[in-house]
Amino acid sequence: MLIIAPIRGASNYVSLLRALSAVWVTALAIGPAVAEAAFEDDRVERAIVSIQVTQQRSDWYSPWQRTRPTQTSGSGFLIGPRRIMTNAHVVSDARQIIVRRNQDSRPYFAEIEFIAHDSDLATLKVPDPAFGRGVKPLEVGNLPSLRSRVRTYGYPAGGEKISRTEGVVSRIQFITYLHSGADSHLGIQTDSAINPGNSGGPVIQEGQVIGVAFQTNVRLNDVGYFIPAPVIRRFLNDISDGGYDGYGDLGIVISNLINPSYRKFLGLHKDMMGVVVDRILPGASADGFVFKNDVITAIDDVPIMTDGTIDYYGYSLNFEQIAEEKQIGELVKLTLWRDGKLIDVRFPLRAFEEADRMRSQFDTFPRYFVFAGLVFMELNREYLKSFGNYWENADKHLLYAHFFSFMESEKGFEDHVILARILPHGINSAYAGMVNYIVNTLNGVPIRKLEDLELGLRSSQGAFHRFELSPGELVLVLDKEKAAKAHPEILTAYGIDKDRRL
Amino acid sequence: MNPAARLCVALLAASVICAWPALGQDQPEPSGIVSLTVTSQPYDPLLPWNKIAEQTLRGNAVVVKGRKLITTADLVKNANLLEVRKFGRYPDFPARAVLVDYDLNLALLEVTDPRFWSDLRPLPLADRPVLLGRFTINRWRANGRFEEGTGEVVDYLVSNSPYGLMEYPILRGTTAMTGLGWAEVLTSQGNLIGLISSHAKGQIEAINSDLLQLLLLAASSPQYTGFAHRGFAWQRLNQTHLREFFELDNSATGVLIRHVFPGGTGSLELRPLDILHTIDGYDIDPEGRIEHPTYGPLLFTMAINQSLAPRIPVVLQRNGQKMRLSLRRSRFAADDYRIPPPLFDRPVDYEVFAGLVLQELTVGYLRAWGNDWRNKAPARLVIEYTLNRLRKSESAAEKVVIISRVLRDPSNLGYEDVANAIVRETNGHAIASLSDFRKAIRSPIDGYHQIDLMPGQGRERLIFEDAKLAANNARVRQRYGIPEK
Repeated sequence: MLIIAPIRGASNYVSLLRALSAVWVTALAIGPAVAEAAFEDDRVERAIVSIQVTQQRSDWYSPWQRTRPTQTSGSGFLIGPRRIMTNAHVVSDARQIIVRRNQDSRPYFAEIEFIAHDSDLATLKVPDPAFGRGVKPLEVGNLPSLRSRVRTYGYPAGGEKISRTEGVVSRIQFITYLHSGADSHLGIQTDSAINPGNSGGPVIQEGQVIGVAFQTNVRLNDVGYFIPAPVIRRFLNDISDGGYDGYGDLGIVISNLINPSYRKFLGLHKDMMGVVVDRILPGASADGFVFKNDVITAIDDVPIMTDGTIDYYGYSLNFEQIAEEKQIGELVKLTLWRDGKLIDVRFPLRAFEEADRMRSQFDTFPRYFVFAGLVFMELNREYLKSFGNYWENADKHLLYAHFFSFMESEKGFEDHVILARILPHGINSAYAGMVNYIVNTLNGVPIRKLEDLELGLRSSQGAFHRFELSPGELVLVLDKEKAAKAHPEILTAYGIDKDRRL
Repeated sequence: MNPAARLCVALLAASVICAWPALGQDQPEPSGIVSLTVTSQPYDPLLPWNKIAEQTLRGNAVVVKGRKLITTADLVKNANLLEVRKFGRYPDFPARAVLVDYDLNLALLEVTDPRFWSDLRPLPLADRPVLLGRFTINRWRANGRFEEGTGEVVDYLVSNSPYGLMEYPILRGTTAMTGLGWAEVLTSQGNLIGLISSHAKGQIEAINSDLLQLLLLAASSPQYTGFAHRGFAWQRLNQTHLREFFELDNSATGVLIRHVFPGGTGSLELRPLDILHTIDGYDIDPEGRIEHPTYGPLLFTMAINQSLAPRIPVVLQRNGQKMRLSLRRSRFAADDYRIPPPLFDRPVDYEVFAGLVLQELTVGYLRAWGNDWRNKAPARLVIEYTLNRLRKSESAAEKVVIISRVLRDPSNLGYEDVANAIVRETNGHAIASLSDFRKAIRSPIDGYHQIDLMPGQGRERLIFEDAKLAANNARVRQRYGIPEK
């Protein structure tokens, strides 16, 4: 049938056979619909690429150096001429990226065009004009319906050829995106097999991309997750101006208002819905516009239920989905019940950079400061990850400072400088037990950032540098002159070319 | 290993052919060691009005002077019934704990039936701890046979007691025997040198004879209320620059007092940045060790419980001046802790309020998550324990009140997910004890009760109508079978 005409050249033997087979099935059994599906399969498969990446992570234990390079692989698909979409985690910390199209063994070098670690998406550009010539890029579709069938394409482990698995959409909800570890967006659960190597591959329905395969849950059988079309489309809109700005964050901590007594206490009318505001994170978008005990009844005029959900194209989703789709700088309208009246507030969405410390870090190098063998770093998620299973291995005061203190303090997020490591030398070896303590002061001056430390050491007047560490008010003292003398010796002995990255 | 598992190990070990010699018929059976069977039934830390299923534990006790038996507190905790048996044969005699010191992990028992004491004689206490070499491990098995094995001393280490903050030297040793940890009796040359308190992977820990002696002495004193605790945190001064900074000469003594906390020995007399040079006549080296005449080098904190004298002399340096002081020996009673150690032999206080189960946080509660509770229990509670288990003020009543769980009821609809949440305020009053909570709920605000929770643990406020409270409480009690107090 003419329908197979797009398959180009006898060299594409497997595709040709598959196409002929499809025609055969069509002819015998199902007819034109199956032939159409086969054509779509082939068109989709031609747009899919395997991605081989040489990754090299920063070393958060020895922050002046990098870890050993490793080889990883993932999947991707063409969304434009020589433009590929994949997951951020496939290409993060990449030193070299090589892509290959399905049925084309030629390697092409690719470069990251845009990368969004918060939504685990990236686009690559392939400089070679021969790449993807004649291939029709895939288009992004819409949110699929529950229980509808989807196909996942990619290059999972266990073989070198393209793989296609089928399943159904089993759940649509907000989920944590594991790449950053701290962002939640819309995600779709499917029983279509998603395995290592599938990452970045498209999830297809009716010939369109309705998702990007990205993570699985090893505790559950036959469960995979993909990034749905609204998140993909938002990413593409974001980068359309030539840069990725990321998500804004309302910064509102809410509680449900399912309890009738609570609703009565707040003076809500019987038919009023909404959620109560427990807290606003200082510096987030809603700071100064929304206050504790406000009841948010609607977002952009979409009513919010007492459990915090909205009706989103027939799905019950977290109300923040409305804000999720907006770009930085766009206005959000919240309808609030405050002091017995309904009012509207509008405020622009802003990026909440203070929360970056909660995210895993990629494509960046750790900040550090080494002085006389004392290695100072800032507390963030990567620092905690250097403990391995940090819930079990990290000191509890670090977990408190990172995960809880910003919620319990009116100040919100605060920086913490950690004595991360001691490079043993006669001048400091007796302090080995003080590793992983928080630096409170240097010579009586509060320390919040590495820059404070650098300034404090430079401007110190006395004969000693005196650090106070917590918890427990530990005292660490170094003779100023002797420390200055030991400093270069230690750097040389431990192979550190630069004593700081600030 | 949890008690049930340890019992299983003990029973299993009893049912197999022992690799260690058992006494034959021609050997005299020990007259200073008896077997102890304990029926124990603790309260359920998660539903504190319930007791969990009873379990039977078997261990050992030693005959001491004054017709008393000594064993570990761990073995007799939460006991409903204590029974002792001599020579491994019928009959069993009921026993009663007359003194249980969980800090020392020791208990004294008495048996009132005079028939029990015939044929028994006290096992003599060793004059001095055995510092090196082999010892004999003695125990009664469940099958009525007496068993001896051997072990070897590794060292003595100043360590915290399992249920408190008292610091004392613990005997550490090795053995090939298995299923230990139930007050097996260590002897050397026929003298009692210790009771095994724990056992894992061939390593044992034992309460040594000095402490047994100390308990016997203390028990005879009418003033005895328990042993002392350290009321200060300290830091080594083993770094040259640090010593120079504090203008210390190189006389090789002195540790730094970092801070003091309410209660405990030294809390009244010591100040932050004091340099402590000697304690009870011992020089403290810059790493915090004293040269003990019996044990050799040990952490100086053991000197706090060397004797029962009410005060301990110290020499310290404050603002460059040396001075002599005496520290009042004092202790944290269980109720003095902000987060108390496990509380045995008594029910845990609780309040059920519209289906919310409120308790004061204890280590016993955290231990409901098993031996690995530091990693498995709710993170925020473990953090609170790690950072703030001692009270911050002089108020002994200062505690951490938590909502441990919500018993689902129409009155708490929407609050079901609240669990292990720290209560910060109720009706505008700060909450630092269940007593505070009980007072606060007498004063609803405009007909409502407001319970504010520590942020970061889910929802931050719970609201209840006062007018419906009595009916709601009654319904919850009836539905969930909660007894009236």
